[in-house]
Amino acid sequence: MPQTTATRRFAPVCRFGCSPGPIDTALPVAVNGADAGGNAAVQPSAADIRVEGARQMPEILLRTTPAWRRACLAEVSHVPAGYTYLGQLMGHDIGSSVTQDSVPHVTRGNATGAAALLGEHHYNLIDNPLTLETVYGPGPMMLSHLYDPGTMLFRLTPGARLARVYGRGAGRDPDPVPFRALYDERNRDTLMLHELAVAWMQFHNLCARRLMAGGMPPFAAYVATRGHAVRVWHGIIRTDVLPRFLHPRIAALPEEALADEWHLDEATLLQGLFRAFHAMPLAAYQLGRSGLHNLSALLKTGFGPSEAETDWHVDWPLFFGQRPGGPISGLSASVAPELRAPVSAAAVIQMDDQTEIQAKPLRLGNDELRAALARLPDDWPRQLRPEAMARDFAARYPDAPVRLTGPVIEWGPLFQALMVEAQLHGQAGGFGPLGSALLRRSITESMRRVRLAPEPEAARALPVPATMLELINLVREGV
Amino acid sequence: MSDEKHYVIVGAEVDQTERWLLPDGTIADQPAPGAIPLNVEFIGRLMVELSIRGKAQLSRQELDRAQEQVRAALMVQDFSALDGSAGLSDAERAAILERTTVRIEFESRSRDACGPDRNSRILVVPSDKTLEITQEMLERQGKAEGFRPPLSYELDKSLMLASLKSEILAMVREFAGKAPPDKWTPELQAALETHMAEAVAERSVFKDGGGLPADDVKNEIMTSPMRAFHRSVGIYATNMCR
Repeated sequence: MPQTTATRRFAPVCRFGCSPGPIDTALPVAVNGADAGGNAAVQPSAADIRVEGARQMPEILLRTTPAWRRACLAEVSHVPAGYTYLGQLMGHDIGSSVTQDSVPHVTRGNATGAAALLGEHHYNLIDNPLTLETVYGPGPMMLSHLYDPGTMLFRLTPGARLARVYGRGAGRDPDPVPFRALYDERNRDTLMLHELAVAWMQFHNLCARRLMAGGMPPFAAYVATRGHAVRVWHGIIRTDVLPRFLHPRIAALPEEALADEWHLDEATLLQGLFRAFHAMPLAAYQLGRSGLHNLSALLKTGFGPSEAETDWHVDWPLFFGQRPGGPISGLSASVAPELRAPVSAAAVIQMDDQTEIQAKPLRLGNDELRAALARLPDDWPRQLRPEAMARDFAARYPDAPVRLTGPVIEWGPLFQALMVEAQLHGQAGGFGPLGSALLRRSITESMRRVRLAPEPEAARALPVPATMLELINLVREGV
Repeated sequence: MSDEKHYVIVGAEVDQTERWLLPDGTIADQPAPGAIPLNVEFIGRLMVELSIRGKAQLSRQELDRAQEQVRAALMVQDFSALDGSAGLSDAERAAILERTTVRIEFESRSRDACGPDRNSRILVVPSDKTLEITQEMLERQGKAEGFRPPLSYELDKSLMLASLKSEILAMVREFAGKAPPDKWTPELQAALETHMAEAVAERSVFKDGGGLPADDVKNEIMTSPMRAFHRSVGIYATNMCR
C-alpha cells in the first residue's frame, strides 16, 4: 500500500548498519489512508514510487533461519539443481550491473538502441543481453587470450570441462598467478557455472570446426556459429529453462497474450526479478561420483586452481534430473544461510538491497507493477494484492521468522515480493503467476530484440540441442 | 592414450567410494548391507592391520586378496582441470584401473641382541607424470601465503579447523587487551567469542542441501580420531602424488 507522510519515519542509516539509504524504522508500518481491504486510498505518483521513504527492508530474507530455510525447501524443492546455475548463466547474460561512475561512457539515446544505462546510477557491462555475450565477449578480434587468432576458436581442448589455465609459471614470471581463459570472470563463481560456461564454448568450437571442415573461412565460421549458438540458447531458454520456473497458468498463455505491462525495464529485471534466484542455492551439493560438498567449498575463492576445480566434477545427468537422487531446489521466501558475500546470506541480501536502492528498480507498489498485476488472468489480481499475500502468508506460515505485512511486500524489493509469491503460489518450485508473467514477458522481449543475420545454409545442418543437458552430452561426446 | 592424459592413480577419498567389499568377500560396484567401502580409510586400516600382523603371519592367499582389495580401492584422479585439457571418460578410467596392478611390500625390523636394530625402509617412487603434474602446478603458483598445504583436502581443512578451535578463541581473547577500552565492552567480547566458536563449528560440519549435518562419511570421520588416522595412513600410502 502507498506510504503517506504520516507513516514515513526515517533513520539516517539502516538498522542493520549496512545500507546507506534511509529506511522506515517502524515495522509493521501503520496503515494510514487505506481501506480495510488494504486498497490504496492515495495513489502514489511515479516520482513518489521511487522515493526512498517508501522502501522497506527485505525482512523475511534478512532473518532467514536454518529451520525456516529447511521448511521452505521441504515445500518447494522440485527443480533440479542444474537449473539454479543455468539460471545464473542466463542472469549473467542479461547484465552485469555496475555504478555509472565506474565506467566512462557516452550516451547515445534510445534512438540508437543503446541499452547500457540501468536507471539513473547504474551501467550494464553486458551490451547485448541474451546474445551469450557473457561467454563470447566482443569476439575474437579483440580477445586474443580467449580466442586463437588463426582459427578464431576458443582456446579450449576438445573434451575439456573447464577453461584453460594460462600462466608462464616458475620464478621467471613477475606475475605468476595463473588465470582461466574465460571472458566473464563471474562465470567461475562456482564449479557448476564454470562447467556450464565452458560447455557453451565447447559447443561453439564443435560447430565452427564442422563449418571450417566444409571450407568456410575462420571468421565466417565464427560469425555463423555465433548466430547459431544464440539461436540454440534462445531455444533452450524457451523450452528448457523457462518451463522449470513458470506457473502453468502463465506458461499456457500464447505468446501474443503476454501483456505489455509484464515487460520490465532492464534495471527491474536485473535488480528486481533476477535477485529472486538467490533462493535457489543449496547449503551443499551431491556432485555424484565426486561426493557431497558444502557450497562454500564449491565457490571460487581466488584465482588459483581450487580443490573443486582440480579434483571434482559435476555429474550433469544427476544435476539436471535425468537420473534420480540429485540435488533439487526451488524458489521460496528464504535464502541459504551458507550463501556468502562476504560472510552470510544476509550480507548477500543487504548488497542486493543496497544495489536496489541505487538502481531504483520498480517495486510492487509502483504504478507500473500495479498495472502488471491487474493484467493477470483469473482471480490472481485479487489474490496477489500485497495485503492478501501478507494475510495468506501469516495464516500458512505462523512460525515464519518474520510476520510479513502488506507494506513490507509492497515496498520491499521486488525480489522479496516475488519470492513470497513463489512460496505461496508457485508450483513445482517455480515463480507464482506474477513472477512468471514478468519473467516470461521480459525474457521473451529481450530475445525478440536480438538481431541475428540470416543463418547460412551450411549452419542449418549444425546440431540443435534442445536442452542444456543435451548440449553438455554433445560436447562431452565430441560428436 | 595415457601419454596425453594427465591423471594419477590414488586411493579413493572417503566420500568418493566406487567399490565395496561385500560380507562374502566379493567386490561390488554398489553398496549392500554390511559392505565395507573400499577407499583410503580401508587402505589405511588394512595397512595398520598388516603392520601389526607382520609378513610372516600372512599367507600368500591373504596377501593376494589384500592386494586385490587395495586395487579396488583405487581411483583415477583426472588432472585435466589443472590446465584445461581433455578429461578422461568413464571407460578410459575403468580401462586404466583394469590394467593397474598393486603390490604390497613389507618393511622389516630385526632385533639384534648385540646391537642396534636392523631396519629396512622402502621408498616408493611413483610412475612418470605422477609427481610431475603437481610439481608443475605448484611452480606455476609461484610464491604464496596461506596456500592449501600439499596432501590436505577438504576434510583435512575441517579437521584442522576443528582442532584449532581453542587456539582461535585464544586469539580472539587477545583482542580484549588491544581494543580501545572506551569502545570495547565485555558484552561485545563475549559476543565475538560466541560468534567465533559458532563459526568454527559451522565450518566443521558437512551439510545436506537444507543445511543440516549430512549423513555422510566425512562427518563420521570428523568425530573419530581412529578413522581419521586410518584415512591419513591410506592417503599417505597412495595419494602422495595428488
